[in-house]
Amino acid sequence: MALPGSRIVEVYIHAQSPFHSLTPLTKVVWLLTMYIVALLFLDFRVLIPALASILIIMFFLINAPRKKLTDFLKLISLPFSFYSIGYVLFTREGNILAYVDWPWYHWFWITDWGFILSGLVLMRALILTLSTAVVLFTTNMEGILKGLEIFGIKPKFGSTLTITIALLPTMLSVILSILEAQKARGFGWEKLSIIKKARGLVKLLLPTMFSAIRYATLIPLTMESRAFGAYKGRTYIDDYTLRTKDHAVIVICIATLVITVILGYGFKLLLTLF
Amino acid sequence: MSKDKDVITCQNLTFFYPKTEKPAICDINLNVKEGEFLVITGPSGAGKTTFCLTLNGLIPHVTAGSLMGNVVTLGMNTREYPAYEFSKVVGIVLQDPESQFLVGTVKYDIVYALENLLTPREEMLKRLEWALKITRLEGFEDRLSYRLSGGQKQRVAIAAGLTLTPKILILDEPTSELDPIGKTEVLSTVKELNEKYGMTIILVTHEIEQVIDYADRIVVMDKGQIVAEGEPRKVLIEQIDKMRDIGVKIPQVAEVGVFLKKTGMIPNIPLNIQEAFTLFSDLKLETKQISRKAVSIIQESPIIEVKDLWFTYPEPPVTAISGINLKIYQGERVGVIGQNGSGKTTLVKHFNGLLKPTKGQVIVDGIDTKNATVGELSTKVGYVFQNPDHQIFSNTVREEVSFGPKNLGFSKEEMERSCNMALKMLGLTEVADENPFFLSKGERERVALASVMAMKPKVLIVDEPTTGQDWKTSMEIMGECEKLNAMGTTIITISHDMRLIAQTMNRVIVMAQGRVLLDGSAKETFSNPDILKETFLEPPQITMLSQKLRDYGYPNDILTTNEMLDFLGIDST
Repeated sequence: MALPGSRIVEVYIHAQSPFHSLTPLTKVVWLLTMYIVALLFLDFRVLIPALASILIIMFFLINAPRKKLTDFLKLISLPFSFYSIGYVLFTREGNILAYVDWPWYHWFWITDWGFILSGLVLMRALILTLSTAVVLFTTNMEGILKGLEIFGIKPKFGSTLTITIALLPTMLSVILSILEAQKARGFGWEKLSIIKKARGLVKLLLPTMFSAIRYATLIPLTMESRAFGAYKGRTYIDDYTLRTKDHAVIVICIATLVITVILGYGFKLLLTLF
Repeated sequence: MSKDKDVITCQNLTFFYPKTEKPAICDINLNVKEGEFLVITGPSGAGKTTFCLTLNGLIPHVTAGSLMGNVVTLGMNTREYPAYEFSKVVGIVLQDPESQFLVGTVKYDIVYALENLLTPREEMLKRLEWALKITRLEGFEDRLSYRLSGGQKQRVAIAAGLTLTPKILILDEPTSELDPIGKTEVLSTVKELNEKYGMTIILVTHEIEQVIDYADRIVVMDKGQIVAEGEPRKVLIEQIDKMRDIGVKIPQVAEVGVFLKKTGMIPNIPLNIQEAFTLFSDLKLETKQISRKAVSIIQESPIIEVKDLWFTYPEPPVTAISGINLKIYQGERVGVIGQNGSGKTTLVKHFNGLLKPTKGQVIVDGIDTKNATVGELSTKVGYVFQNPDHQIFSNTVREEVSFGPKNLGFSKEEMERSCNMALKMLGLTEVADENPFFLSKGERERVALASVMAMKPKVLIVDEPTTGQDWKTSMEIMGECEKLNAMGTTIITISHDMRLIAQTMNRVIVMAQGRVLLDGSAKETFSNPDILKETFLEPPQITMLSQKLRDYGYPNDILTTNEMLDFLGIDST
């Protein structure tokens, strides 16, 4: 049964797609390429193609339901809008387009550079967020664990993260059944005023806490009984051997990165970097 | 393998949970032999789970508390080795499947331990395939674990325990949410592991009926202590009254056998259907009339009418109910049964508006549920959920019980009257001012029931009253429901316990794959073993026995031990 809000906790999209089939290592290389490009360049000539490539992958190469993608874009649109507007309102450099000079408030002006910068940082933020989302949409918990291992994070610590994420839907279903039980006794959240809703939260929090404490005592039992921490490493049931397509993606990513850095900063910086 | 060698030795084992004065287990001395199939039974709160956790070092290493005495498992003292060392040789399947999902996808949850133990990929794939097949989970490997039904979740937990192929396998009520055939399948697999691979099995269960033929030894626990122990036949025959008194579910054939033996009609107490068949088929029968309580049902207009009901869960779309039509009348006691995931809960959640039809109509006391809120419908239909802890949030039992009537706008006097009536009926008056969270599980279950009863609904739905409960508590809950039924309340019960359904319900709806497969009296339903089998169900033990004895003059629709005793002309009082 789909739970309200489960779209948020169920990040991974179980599907067959070209991007799904890449190994965690390949995805990490792609993600790092996008991060480096976004953080090194504040230039439309680089950011537009990078963002366009991510959007193409997101909408055509990961086989994700359109609704999930539009829901996700809706979710990030509000904070990103505030972030972008902030740059428009608080950038001082550039030609002034509008100015406010009240006696009690006189440091507010809008510049042309403010608009440009706002567009650039918005694109940078989108590249960072959407590329991360693409990887999370297409990588299951095991893949994430493997990916974290590539970054040097031991499976023992990585598991803690994946277990927490895995528990979220369970807790959500507990909350849902608590709400159902309350509804079934005539308690209607929708009819309450904000103050009553706040007071009513106690009725939701108490049994939720009770369940959370119960899980917090039971999960370590399961972990220990399933050999958690028996060895430093772990094996994986999925095959993470690099295949031709992985090699191709890795080569393309590295080549793109090198070419972009050369075009943007010249050979000198490249030599300093490597 | 030698059944003389001890693999577990417990000496003077006592354990206190933090800040408790009473020990959870007290002075336990027990040895488990290599390759033994040991069954542990006893009422809820007897200390069975605590005892299991001491066997592989989870107590004292993971669960805090004060442990006295010693446990030596496969030569390792549990105090001296970390719990993960034991996980290499001792597998454990805990009671709550949801707490055993560590990755969130069936496949990965099943092989989690194998990955931690550095098992090669090919070996993992082999064991995964085997475990999926045994637990009937083929095709589910990529499903999200938390989205499965209760029974399917339990299968995932069992599969995870099985893949380890450990030397000792501990199973703590592993089949409580499974359908009857699912239970039999899992238990026969466990038996196979025991016989074929010499695996030592420690199985905690309330269902001795199903394991009596498998077990080498049975241990009965009560209040943290071992009250009986030995060969199953000997324990059951010698301690049957004691076991029944503490709330253990005795096999029906043995219950009947006790009376027959007392009257000298049979020499031994039978423990399974085959033994009972041999003994009962030799009896010279005087045909007696089975006394069944007359059921008076007002069949003028139904209290619930379901018209061509379809329901599809969104994302991903799963059709859970497909074209159901039925009528439920005032005063009926209706059991809803079916295999795991057959749509039982989905169907009944339409009765109080928690779910609205995708297509079709549900009319409750003349109101179309599509046009009514759950709050409005709660005056007509009360719903007692499976887990009482999801329903309790008040500081006192009285507050908890009056929550529903208050929401429904009862006057102060009326609220007090209905609250007192519910507290009295369920024997909660003495604890009315106590915090419900500090009551025992059985008492919390009663608080949940009282809080719904106080709303005086015309229909009462009880979802899985036996899960995690001992037989005595389950029957007490159903006894209260019967009292309400006598006052005209319609009772609808979902359960996997066919004995409970046969004993307490007068009409049974059998569901399979979102459809009603059979809808009739309990008698009609349980005399149709072939249809029941289609949905992984089987009649209660006593009914199966009477069906087997049909050629010997027995009716094939005996539903309870009392009916069998009536038929045999024995006074069961």
